[in-house]
Amino acid sequence: MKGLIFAIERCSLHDGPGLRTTVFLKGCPLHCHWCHNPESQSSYPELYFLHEKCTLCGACVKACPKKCHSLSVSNHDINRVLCAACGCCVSACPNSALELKGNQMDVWEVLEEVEKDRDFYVESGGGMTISGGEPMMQYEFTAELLAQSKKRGLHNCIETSGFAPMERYLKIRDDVDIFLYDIKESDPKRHLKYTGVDNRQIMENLFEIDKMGSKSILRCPIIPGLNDRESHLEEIAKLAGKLKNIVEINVMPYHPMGKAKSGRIGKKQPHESNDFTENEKVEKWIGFIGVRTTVPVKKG
Amino acid sequence: MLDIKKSGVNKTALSPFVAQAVEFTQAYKEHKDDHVAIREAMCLKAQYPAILRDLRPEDTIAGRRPEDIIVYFGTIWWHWYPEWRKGVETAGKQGGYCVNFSAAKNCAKNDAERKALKKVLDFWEDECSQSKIRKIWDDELKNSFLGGASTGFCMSMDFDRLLKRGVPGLIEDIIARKSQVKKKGGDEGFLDGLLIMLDVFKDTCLHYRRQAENLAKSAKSAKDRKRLEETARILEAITVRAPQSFREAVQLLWLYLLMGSGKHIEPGRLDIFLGDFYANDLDKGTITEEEAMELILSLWSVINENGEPAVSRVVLGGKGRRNEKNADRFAMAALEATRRFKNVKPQLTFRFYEGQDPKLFSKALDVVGENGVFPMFYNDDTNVPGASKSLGVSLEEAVRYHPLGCGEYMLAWCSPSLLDSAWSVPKSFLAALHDGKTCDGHKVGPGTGAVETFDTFEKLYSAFKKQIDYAMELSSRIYKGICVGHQKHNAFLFASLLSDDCLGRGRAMFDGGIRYLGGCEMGHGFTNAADSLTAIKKIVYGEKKLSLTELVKILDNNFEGREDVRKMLLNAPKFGNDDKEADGMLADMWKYINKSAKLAGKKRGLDFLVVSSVNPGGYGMGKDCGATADGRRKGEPFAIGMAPTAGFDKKGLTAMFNSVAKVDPAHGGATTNVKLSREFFTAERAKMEMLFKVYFKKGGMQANVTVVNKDDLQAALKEPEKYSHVMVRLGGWSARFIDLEPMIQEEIIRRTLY
Repeated sequence: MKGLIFAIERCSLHDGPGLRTTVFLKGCPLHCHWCHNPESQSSYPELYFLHEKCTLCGACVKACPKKCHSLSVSNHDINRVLCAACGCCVSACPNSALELKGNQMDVWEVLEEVEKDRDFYVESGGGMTISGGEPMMQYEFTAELLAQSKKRGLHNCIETSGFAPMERYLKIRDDVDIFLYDIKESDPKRHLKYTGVDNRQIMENLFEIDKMGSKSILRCPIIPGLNDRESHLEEIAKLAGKLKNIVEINVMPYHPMGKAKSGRIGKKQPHESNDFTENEKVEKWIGFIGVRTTVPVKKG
Repeated sequence: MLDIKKSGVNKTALSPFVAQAVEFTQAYKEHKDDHVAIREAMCLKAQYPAILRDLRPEDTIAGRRPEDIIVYFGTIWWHWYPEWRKGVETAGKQGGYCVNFSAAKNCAKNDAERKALKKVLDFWEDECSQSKIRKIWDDELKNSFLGGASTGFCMSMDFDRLLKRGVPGLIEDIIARKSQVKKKGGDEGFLDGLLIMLDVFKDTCLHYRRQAENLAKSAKSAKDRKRLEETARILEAITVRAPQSFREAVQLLWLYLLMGSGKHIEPGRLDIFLGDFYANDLDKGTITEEEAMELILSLWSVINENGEPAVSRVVLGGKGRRNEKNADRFAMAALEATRRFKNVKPQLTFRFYEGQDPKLFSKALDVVGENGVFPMFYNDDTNVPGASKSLGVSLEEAVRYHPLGCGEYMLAWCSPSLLDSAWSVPKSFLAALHDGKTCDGHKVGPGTGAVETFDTFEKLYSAFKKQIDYAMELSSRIYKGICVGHQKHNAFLFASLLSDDCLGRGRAMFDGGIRYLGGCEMGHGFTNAADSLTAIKKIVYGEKKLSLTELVKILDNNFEGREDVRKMLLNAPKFGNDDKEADGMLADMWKYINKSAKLAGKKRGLDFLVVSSVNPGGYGMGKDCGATADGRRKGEPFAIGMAPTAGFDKKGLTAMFNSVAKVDPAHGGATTNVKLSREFFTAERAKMEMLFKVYFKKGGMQANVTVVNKDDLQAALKEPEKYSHVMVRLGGWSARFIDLEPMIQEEIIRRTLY
């Protein structure tokens, strides 16, 4: 069985306990304004353009069967509507200015890569994390990957927005050691506005997953100007208090890497800030949530 | 202060600096036909304390070397070679009688000095050790592409013997040995030389003692006076008995190290040497922990002031320490000292093994997190058996492996480090593609066939192996020439006395005294050569995208107009990504190189010849090397040490560690650089400790860690004055980032930052 993968990151430190390998799946039902992996949203391969490497040599123009590339004296335009992500221009570009994001991989191929760092997992209590995108968009692949990984005795985490039918979570729960569960916004209206979907099902699923005894880490992106208000931070603490199996709360401060990447796939990030979040701010948020809950709060 | 004696020197016309050179030359001439050890001892007498710089009121430890010298005896000094006088601008590391041939031009202040120095240089042109050794080398060696014309070396000496016996004890040992030799009617010259040398050493102690006493008289505060009086007392004490306290031990060790080395100083395993003194003084309460710390910091400070940045290694921890508990106590303090002492010297080296007190490893990581570069990590569980195999010695002796200077292997206090020849592995590789020539037609190796005849990868690889064999053959002949030259002309009395088994055998180190005579070839660009092989194997022989002949033409044209081919090469598997093919190729090449070196060394009568991947020559050597088949353009820097080429390790730290751990430690030493952002040592401290533990458990030999982030460095480029503290590591050594040349700065920034 094949899945559409856009990255496998080894020696990942921020996606669960220990040293891990994170497998990023392509496709997401949410479209968060601050998305830090905009190339993960579409369920199809996409052309990724690193303009600073382009010398306007024209190799891509010659290679492209659909005539997507057009060059001027100082500019390189890509017609994304015509582009079929065939990859012809990627192989032709001598400067590696073009890449294709999204690669079909078999479960065993992914696991072969994951297995390479087994020694590091054993020593550090790490393992594999499936992230995205939303892994549940490729539910069958995800389920198979988790099952095969568990069979090999690896520790599994899955990072999810929670936006998927509950029965799917029920089916994978035995193969998941920790859910990394995103809490993006506590106010339903704002949730809809910032992510494009309603948060009712997300909340229901979270309580269900908690009830069935699975461990979760709450992953909370905090975006200055959007959801850094005290009432939302307070809600996060309250939520953790209502649940039994939350092992950690991760505060994930906004960074502009996603914005930079969105330009490379010809998109425009709705949240346009160029600023990294200052550490003092992050510490303040962590402190604020920390005094309102018994669950450890960490920077994610 | 210079001690100018009556020897016909016109005192009014010559500065002390020039007068000393004349004096030294005179001493040499007078004893030219004496036993080499006597001649050397008499020259040392003309050298010490004359060339040493004065004690300053703020100094705690006495002994400072001069900035520059004209004529000098020691293990190593960087200078202009004799050819400089004929307009050939080459300089390098001279050993033995070292002479600065630019002195008449650069040091003379007036005609009288110019005239005096001309005479001095006329004399030394044939007589300096560099010239004598060059006469032993044939033309092929002199002009070889190994770039090695240097004859200097570093020594790690057995200070345990010095500190236990003291100067009087050593004198007793020499006299006892002398009487045995006398009975048998043997040659006592070497032993007599040692005795004179120790007299010179004592005189130098007393010279500094007088200075300390005088300074004490005019001290600004009671505290300063007390300190200087104590220094004076210690300097006398160490001439009449073995050191009794930590401070006495430090002073004795330092002065001997300074006088017995050269421009490079190699303190070595200080925790063994000083551990007992440190622990005793603390336990007896004669010194407080903070006082001991101040003394260690003073020692760090003299090492920093007098040592060269690429060397000056202090080694802590590891197997083979006779006094492990006390050594550990000193090691903890020394690590702490380096945490506080944010400087590039001493090059703190931390050795460890399974079973060593874990708090040392933990402390070492804390220190590197704060200091940014030190200590460097060496895994004894891998390196001791590895060194045993590569150097051909027992495990008991292999614990003495010493990663000297840039990371070259030697055995502490039983082998000199012959290392001053540098090999560009990619150049040998390109020679295989050009029938023994570089791409611009210079002959650098034997004819190994035209590329058209390499119809299989094995044929190409075998031609490359012949080029390797040739380079190793040259290397072993160069080293052998150095050994023969030093044997004939130099006794290296200071170093010989503290090396196994010179005293027992009654012979100078190169004259059959030292236990092992071996060399370590410094190799550069291993990764570029191996990745080139991998790329050719895949693209030319596997996928048959183009012929080898075509590829060679494209390389010779530096990929001009053929960026498509360059991209193909760049996309081939690369070392450092946990890729079976690429890692296997490097491991196999590495194995072959060291086998070839071993054989070549044996053939020429060296006890061992190993090849180490060291730094930082990778940058400079890349400059004059043509384009390589890994996609590297002409003139671009090589990969540093045993590390992936910058930017080619795309799969993260664990993948790089997996790759590096595949290289067999039984084939010489390798340095591996890891640059880490500071967060690794704060927020991710626990995970990082695990990361390193697994790497070393898997057989990782070594790691140089740099803690820095891209923003720091980019900011440092813009406002260097604000970022003078940013230190970076280039394989085996470290430097202030702002001091580096732009190409290196760019490279460091480009390197993968995890």
